[in-house]
Amino acid sequence: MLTIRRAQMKEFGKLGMRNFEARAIAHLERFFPEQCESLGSAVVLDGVRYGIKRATAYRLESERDLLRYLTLMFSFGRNFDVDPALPWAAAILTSAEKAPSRTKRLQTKARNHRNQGKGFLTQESLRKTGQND
Amino acid sequence: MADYPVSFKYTDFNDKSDPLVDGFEEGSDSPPTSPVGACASATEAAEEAVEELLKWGVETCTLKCGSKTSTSFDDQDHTPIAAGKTAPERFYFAPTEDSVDVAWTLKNPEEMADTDEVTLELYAFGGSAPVWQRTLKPTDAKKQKLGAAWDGSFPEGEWIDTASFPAHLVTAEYSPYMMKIRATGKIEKGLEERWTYFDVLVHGIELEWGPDAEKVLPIAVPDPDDGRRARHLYANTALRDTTDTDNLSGLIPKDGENKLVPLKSNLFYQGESELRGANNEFYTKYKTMWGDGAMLPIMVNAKICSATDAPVDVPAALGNVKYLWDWEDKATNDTPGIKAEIKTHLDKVSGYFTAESNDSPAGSNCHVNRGGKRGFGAAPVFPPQGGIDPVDTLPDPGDDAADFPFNVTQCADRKWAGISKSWTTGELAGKSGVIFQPSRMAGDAYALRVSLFFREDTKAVQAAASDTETYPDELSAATGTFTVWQEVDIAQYVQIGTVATPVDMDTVKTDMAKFFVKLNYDDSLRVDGTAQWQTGMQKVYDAAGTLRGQLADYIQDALPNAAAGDTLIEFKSFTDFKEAWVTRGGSEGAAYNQSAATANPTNAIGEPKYDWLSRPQSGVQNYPFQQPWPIDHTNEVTVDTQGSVRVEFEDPKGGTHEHTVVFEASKRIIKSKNIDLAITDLKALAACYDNCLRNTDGQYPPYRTGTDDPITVNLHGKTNAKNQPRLVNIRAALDQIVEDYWNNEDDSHAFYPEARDENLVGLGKNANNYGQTAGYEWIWNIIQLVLFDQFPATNGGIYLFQVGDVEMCNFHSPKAKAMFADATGNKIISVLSKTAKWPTLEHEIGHCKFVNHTYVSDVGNDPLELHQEDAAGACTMVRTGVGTTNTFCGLCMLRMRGWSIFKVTSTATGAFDNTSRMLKKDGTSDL
Repeated sequence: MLTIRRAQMKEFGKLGMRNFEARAIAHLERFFPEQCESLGSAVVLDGVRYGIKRATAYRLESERDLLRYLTLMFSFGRNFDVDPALPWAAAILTSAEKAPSRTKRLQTKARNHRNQGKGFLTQESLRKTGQND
Repeated sequence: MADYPVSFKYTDFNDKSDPLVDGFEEGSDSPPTSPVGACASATEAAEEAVEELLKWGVETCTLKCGSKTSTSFDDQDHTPIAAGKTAPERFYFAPTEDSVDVAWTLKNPEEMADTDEVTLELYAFGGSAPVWQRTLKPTDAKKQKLGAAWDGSFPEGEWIDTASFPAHLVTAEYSPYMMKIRATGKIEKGLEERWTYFDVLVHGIELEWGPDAEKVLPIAVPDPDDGRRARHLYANTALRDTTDTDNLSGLIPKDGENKLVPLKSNLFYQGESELRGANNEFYTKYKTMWGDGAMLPIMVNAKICSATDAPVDVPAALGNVKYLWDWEDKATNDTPGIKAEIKTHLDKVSGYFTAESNDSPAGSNCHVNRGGKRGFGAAPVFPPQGGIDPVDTLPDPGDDAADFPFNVTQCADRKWAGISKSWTTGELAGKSGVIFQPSRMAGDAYALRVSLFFREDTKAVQAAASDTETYPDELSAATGTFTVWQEVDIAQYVQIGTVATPVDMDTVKTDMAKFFVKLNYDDSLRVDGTAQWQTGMQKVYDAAGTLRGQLADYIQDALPNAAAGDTLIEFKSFTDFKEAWVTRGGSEGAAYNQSAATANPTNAIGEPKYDWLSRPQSGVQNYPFQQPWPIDHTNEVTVDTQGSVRVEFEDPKGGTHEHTVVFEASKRIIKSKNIDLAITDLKALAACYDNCLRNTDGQYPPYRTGTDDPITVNLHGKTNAKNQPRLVNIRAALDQIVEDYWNNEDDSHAFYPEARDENLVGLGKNANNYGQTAGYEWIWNIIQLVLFDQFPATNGGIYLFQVGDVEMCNFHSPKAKAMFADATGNKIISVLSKTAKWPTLEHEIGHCKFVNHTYVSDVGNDPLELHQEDAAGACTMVRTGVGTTNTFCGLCMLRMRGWSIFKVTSTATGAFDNTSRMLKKDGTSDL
């Protein structure tokens, strides 16, 4: 039987996160190619780490939910979760629902918001998306 | 032929690179820090399982109309929906006409939480974002259908893309559509969304006349009105005439049918010089009359396909459609009965730059170099129009040029084609149209094709829409052939007295049809006009009558104040004429010389003496009859023992040409007259001769210069030798002499005709300028006044005037003569002898239409040799001997059809280069 020690688990965790960061960057480059090119890889990585940090604070843990959060960040801005123009974001993220339901509802609201021609990603918020706070 | 509607798949409505769609599907359910994936505890797994049972979702999404139900989909990778409306899974309906149930089924709807919801979304083909959506709370979601039957419309506030759907209605423009339902909340995996598809289809498009030409023709009525707008309106009315069974009863021609486009063209020559062709006169005047051709508004109307496959009229459901208008050259010279050698010549001439180019389809309509609308730089057949915004009622433009309602632009690549936009609202909602303007050249022929397309007006779309092989039948419509014809009217066929055999007009009509001239004639136009002639002549004789007042003074003075009775035209005696003339002179000024009475006292016989050297030198012979002859200039009058009278006088002006004019009259001629009277007559004759024949600088006729031989005019009467014309009597001598002298056509003269029974020389010679002093055209003046007054023809046309075997005829009619047209160029008289036949009439109609004699029969009349080389001898336009085997040659036909003899250098102005021949006797061109 393979015994994995806590230290090893920790190393596995770090490795897992690094791999995920790379996949997240690839995801963002695929869906936001111009923005990523404009920001540069270092800024994008910074943005990914910021987004993961924010997302986990909202109890979003799975890769899928983390990618969804990052997608919303790059769609609506770095601090979309507290943007007063997007009240539904904070309301959903802080609700008691399980994470997948919350991110799915975020998706619906986000699409509705976008479809109605309301503010999508601006150049200013794009720059801020990649900045460390 | 391509199928309509087209095939499509899921991704035609969803962009796989949409971050808010596809970007939300990536990644695993495990945390990224876990090396081997999430390992839920048994408790969690059990909780998950229970939770799954408490979830709900969407199972189906469908549309239903009548017996048809659309298919619900859940797999984005489903097989593409096949093209064609009969393909399985194809569902279509007509918005506002059909009622559709939008329905869905839910699994475990009772598990919907208050915060859960379903969202209906509508996607248009090619778009990745919904164009409409509606979110339903649990109460409405659980109904599993939209409350009311759906007619294809949604409230304005629910539309996301209002710009593309201004009528808040699904349209054919953005078809096909995807209707999707998405569930939000605790949704069972795999039941998050379902969708279905539907079409809004064009059933077909139809061409129709319209709009009302009165309201849409961009032609103002000029001041003074030259009739141009009326001509265009006439063409439109004629094309739509449901009673005209010879011309498809007002319908647009279908494939295989031929529709005649009638251009009313009563346009006739006004002088000998217009026959020669060197000035290209018919082409020029025809261009002025018809410009770039008749303007014919034509529309297209698209119908929507109902759920039961019926065509229904729902303009709002079309959307923003455009149309590509195209034409095909259908010209042919193969007209019924045309002779083979004529057709061969026509084919040779018209086979000119026939290949397709960017500017022109292939074909043989008249080329732009010859004044037509085929080839580089030709005027468009669908001229661009600005269009107007839709209105409920088209305005009445009055006399102003109207604004054509539809916007029309030139196609970028196929420059002879046009693109029109449609109205979405207003009086012409759902329709579009163009002004179809074929060339004015008789014989040019067109078939039209129109194709509907949506939105993009790219070259690729234009190319696809113009491909007759592949473009869907539902989206295109084509016509049969429109052929341009000239329409010439026989205004009246007037016979005076009995004509044994009228001219065979049916043959004339058939022959003119060979070159696309429709001669309007039916036998009701042939009348015995004796009574009307007398009535009209009475108006001419009436001293206060308006007809009389339209004649030149000297003609008025030659006419009696009341009809004498039994001749066609009555005249006063010479003495009475002179008295009237002299009386008039007192108030008419110097031209009548009588005002010089004080300067010119009476001569030896008591007549006012005229200083004829001072008469007006205007370049025109000014009424020599008004001037008493200088009898004093006669040197000698002798009478010999046989009774011959000899009057001799010299040119008193002197100069280099001094001639003696001797008039001799045989005793035989004067035997019945008093010798003194004879002497008087001869003196008068001599003086008149002198007056008439002097040119403006007082010299004798040029052709008589160079000799001092006396000019002898033999009045014996029987000889036919030159300069010794046959005479009937002394009175007649004058016109014979004058006619003999005035043998070149640019001169004019006046003379006084003896009344009755005189053999007046043939009508029409040397006639020129009705407004000036006349030679023989005084007769024409009278005939024209009488005919036009008694037989008015609003549209103008050719009057046939045929004098039968009647005693009353007191002037000689030649076999036939095309007199000159009136000042409008719209009416003309062709005089016919009592035995004239159809070849003769055709010859005269040729002259009427500006065609000269052939060079093989009349060299001087055809310096450019404007007749078909291998048919000139048998052409209808030979000067003499036209018979039943004659026919118009190829060049005659082309000229009468309106083609330019010379290369046209400006399509706008019609200017041409008369050094570059486009029509030559051998069928070639300089260019």
